[in-house]
Amino acid sequence: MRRIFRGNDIDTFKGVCYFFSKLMILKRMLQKQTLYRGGGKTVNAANVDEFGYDPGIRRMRRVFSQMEAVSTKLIGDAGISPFDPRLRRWREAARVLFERGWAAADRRNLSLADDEAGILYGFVLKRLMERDGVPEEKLQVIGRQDARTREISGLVP
Amino acid sequence: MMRLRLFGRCRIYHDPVSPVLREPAQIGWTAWFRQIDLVTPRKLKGKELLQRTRGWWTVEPDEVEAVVEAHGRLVVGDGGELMVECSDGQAAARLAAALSERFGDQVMLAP
Repeated sequence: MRRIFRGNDIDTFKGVCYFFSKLMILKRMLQKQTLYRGGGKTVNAANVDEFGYDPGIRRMRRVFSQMEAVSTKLIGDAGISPFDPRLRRWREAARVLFERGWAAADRRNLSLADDEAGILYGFVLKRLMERDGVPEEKLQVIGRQDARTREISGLVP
Repeated sequence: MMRLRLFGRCRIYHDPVSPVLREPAQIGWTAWFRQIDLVTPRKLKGKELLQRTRGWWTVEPDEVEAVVEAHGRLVVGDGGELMVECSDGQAAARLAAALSERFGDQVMLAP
């Protein structure tokens, strides 16, 4: 090694290392660009989650996911078609009532966990569906009936 | 005929969202040699409104359009909603199945 890298040779070696380090950086940049462009195709953001690092966004995703799961179960259990025109009216009213219930929880210093927000939404949707004649026995928001669940159901305006 | 709204998942929160045309686009004109004061309101077509979901939905509007157009017609509803018009409930069910097969739970039909 000594014989190979002496004098100007060391400078050459440094130069080669520098060149390859730049080449690696360029390669990484190109890989990143290819990833974002989906290998020549347009971006499919389902594969690139550029917002998932934010804890606030992650929390809201969990909340919305719970709300969707509860409402899907309620609608499915009631045997209602996903194309039933009443769903739009129920969803629009449920959103307003849910926001009021969430505000009521804040006023009572009742901190709702992510899954409990879903339960609150379920109770709101259940009430609206009952008002429109869907039988109560078909609408089961949650299996357990403890004090906490009753407290959450009490938030429904 | 049956009309259903088309929802896609928000790239940020992953909840179902759909574009609504609140007001028609205001199209004005400029010219090299004269001033044109005319402004014409123009309602977007269904395909044009779908294209506005780029960057908002987790999927590409071009790909959604290809699937939707095979089973129904993209339209803008009376309230400016992005909707799909299908011949009947069965066609809507076929479209929902095709969307589910192609995009999983990322695109959905709802009233």
